[in-house]
Amino acid sequence: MKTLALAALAALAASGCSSKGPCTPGGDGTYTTNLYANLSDYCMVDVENGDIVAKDGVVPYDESTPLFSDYATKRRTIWVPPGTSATYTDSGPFDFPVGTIATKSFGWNGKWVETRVMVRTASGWTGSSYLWNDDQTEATFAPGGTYRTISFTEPDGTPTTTDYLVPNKNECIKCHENLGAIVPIGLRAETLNHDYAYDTGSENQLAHWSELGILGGAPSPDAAPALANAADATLPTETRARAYLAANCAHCHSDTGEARNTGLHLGSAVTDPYVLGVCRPPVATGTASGGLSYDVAPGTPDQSIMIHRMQSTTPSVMMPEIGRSVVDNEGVAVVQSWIAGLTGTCTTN
Amino acid sequence: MKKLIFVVGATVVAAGCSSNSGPDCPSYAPACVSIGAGTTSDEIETDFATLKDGDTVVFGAGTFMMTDTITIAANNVTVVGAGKDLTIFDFSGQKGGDGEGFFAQSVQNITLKDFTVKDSLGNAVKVLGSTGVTFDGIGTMWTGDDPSMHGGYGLYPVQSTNVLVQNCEASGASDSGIYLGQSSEAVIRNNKVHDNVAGIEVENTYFAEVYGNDVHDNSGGILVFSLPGLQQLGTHDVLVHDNNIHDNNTDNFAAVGNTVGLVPRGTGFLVMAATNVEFRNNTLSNNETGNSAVLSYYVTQLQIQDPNYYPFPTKVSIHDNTFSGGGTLPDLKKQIGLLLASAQSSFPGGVVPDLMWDGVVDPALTQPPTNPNLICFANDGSVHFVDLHIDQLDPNNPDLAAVMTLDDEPTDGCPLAPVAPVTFPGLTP
Repeated sequence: MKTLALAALAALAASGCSSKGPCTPGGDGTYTTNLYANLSDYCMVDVENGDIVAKDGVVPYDESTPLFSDYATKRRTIWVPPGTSATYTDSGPFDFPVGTIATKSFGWNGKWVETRVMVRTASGWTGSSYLWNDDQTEATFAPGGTYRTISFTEPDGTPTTTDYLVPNKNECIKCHENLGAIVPIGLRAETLNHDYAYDTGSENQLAHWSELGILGGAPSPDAAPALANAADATLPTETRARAYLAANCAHCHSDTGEARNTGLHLGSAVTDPYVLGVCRPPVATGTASGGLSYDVAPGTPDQSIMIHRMQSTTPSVMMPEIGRSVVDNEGVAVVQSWIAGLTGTCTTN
Repeated sequence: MKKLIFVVGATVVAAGCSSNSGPDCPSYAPACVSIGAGTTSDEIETDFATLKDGDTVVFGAGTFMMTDTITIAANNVTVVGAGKDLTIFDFSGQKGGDGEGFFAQSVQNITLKDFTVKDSLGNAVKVLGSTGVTFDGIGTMWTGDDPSMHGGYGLYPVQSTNVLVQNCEASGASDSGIYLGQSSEAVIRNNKVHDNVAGIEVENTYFAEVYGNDVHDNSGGILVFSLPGLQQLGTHDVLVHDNNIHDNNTDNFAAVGNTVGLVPRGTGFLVMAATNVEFRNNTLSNNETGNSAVLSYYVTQLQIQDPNYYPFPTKVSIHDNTFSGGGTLPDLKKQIGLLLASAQSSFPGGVVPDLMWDGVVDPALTQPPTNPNLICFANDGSVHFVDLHIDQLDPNNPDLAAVMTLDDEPTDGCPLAPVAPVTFPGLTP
């Protein structure tokens, strides 16, 4: 009798592993102790007609200005345990309840390469990448990371082949660690405060989350901070550039991020030009300065270390330090035109 | 793939580890990951990604070809090799990641021991924001033909507390061999530091002791300074003693724009904009721009945009050092070197004096009247002293010989109280 019961349990577990089978988000709940072996165990997403879609009860979301990742197509989802909710804050990530699961999938040409999973445990956030198989039926736990050769066409028509880095679990901290704690980056008011095209129609994400009951304490969207879409050519150059820098740099370049020791801070709330790099000599830049004297040289983007590093693909020179292997030409152009429009000269004593 | 991972009690260590190519775990390491020659970069990264607090990782002899940074995220981790010359991590094939060799951030008690990090694209070993950082018997080196393309820092503890760097060999860095930044309670001792731009830099750091190091053939030997615009401002309570600082005459190969790129080749010891610094019982020889200098930030000629930054050196005591040679050939590629060379014939014996001060006084300080910055020199043998008075130079027609004064060391307020040696929990003498 015991043997039979075990066999039945095993059969149940096996059927639970199928990405197409019925399942409940969160699976058996043990992920807060040990991350699951398979992405499907979380019951967060499916691949349908080549696209990643959220399972029932799981909320898809996007960001006003996304982080650039080798021109990847990204799909993001969030789920909190039934009856719980995140707590709103104006700045920094929302405070999510234990058991929260967030996913972010990266793909090119309709082929998904990795899905990163972050889960909120009792002792804080943790996470890992899951690598998709060739058949796109399952993604498996890949804490060690790897390289994947990808080919795609850039927006300007250039065909590109590159070695894309799937980060190892420890590399996650480069961007996600904030004074010793792992934190989500995009799950905060300014990046979410805009409309999303839900199946049920377009609606502001903060408002939608509040209606669903997964976010508590949020003001009306008008009263919450909002980051611009850096790709929106109708907006002023400075607005676009600052949004780009906030979304692509400020997770490290803040007073609590990994680049805190540099004193160069690029978040949306920074107002001091010197702190934004204007006429700022490099500190711990080494050869990455490219022989240039200032992070941002007003009026001369090609004399600015910021542009030099954004245009590099050499590890240790390029910025961001991790997460891309090709240049974001459109993003560089926005920051270039912002610097070109700055006035003044950097003087010595 | 010759690898063995195990967790065993200390009592069964000897029996548990002996039959594989991975080395035995040390007796102090009950939880141990043992990695033998031939293990791939991806496998090593996976091992590090799954480390638990308190783990020890033991590497055997051999060269490990790494394609990515080795990142450590757990607390109380020890990584130990078979020896600085036996266990080599070769990063020349590094494809991605941040370009660092080893990296850790916000951890408690990390110990790296007895291996070499070679040819990382960026810094060799960086530990940020951590408490209890020990580098013991670590080598950092670059072999690329163009030294300006070498990584910036060899051993790079930053914003960390309770830091010990000992018995290491740091060479070839395009900025600094050992760079201690924005840290506190740090000891750097008994290292060999050579062929870097800067040998040892102590920057924006509180309570550091630097002793017993052999520092040679860098562009600058030991630099203690404070820079503006950083989270931790100021440098104070630094004791530098019993080092051998010689022949630091390598051309400065730092990238332009970096502050260290301003340092002339041939600099022995330099203190800039730091407070309460004692430099004693060192041996300095044949540093061709000058053996020692006390400077304000104004020598950099960089604009100060940080309102909280203090650009003057104060309470600097240089005494009981042994000087020989040096000052014979100032670096003509750097402004301060050019300035010194312009007055060379006016210096005693035609060489730059062993003791130099730029003479820039904080106007807000008034006591004691003739030495308000409290810059003190004593018992350094029959050496010469020059006060450069650079603040009196005509920028359009700088004539150093006309403004400098020789052999009139300030004495008011001297001697200063000694700077205490650094102690912290777990530090053995």
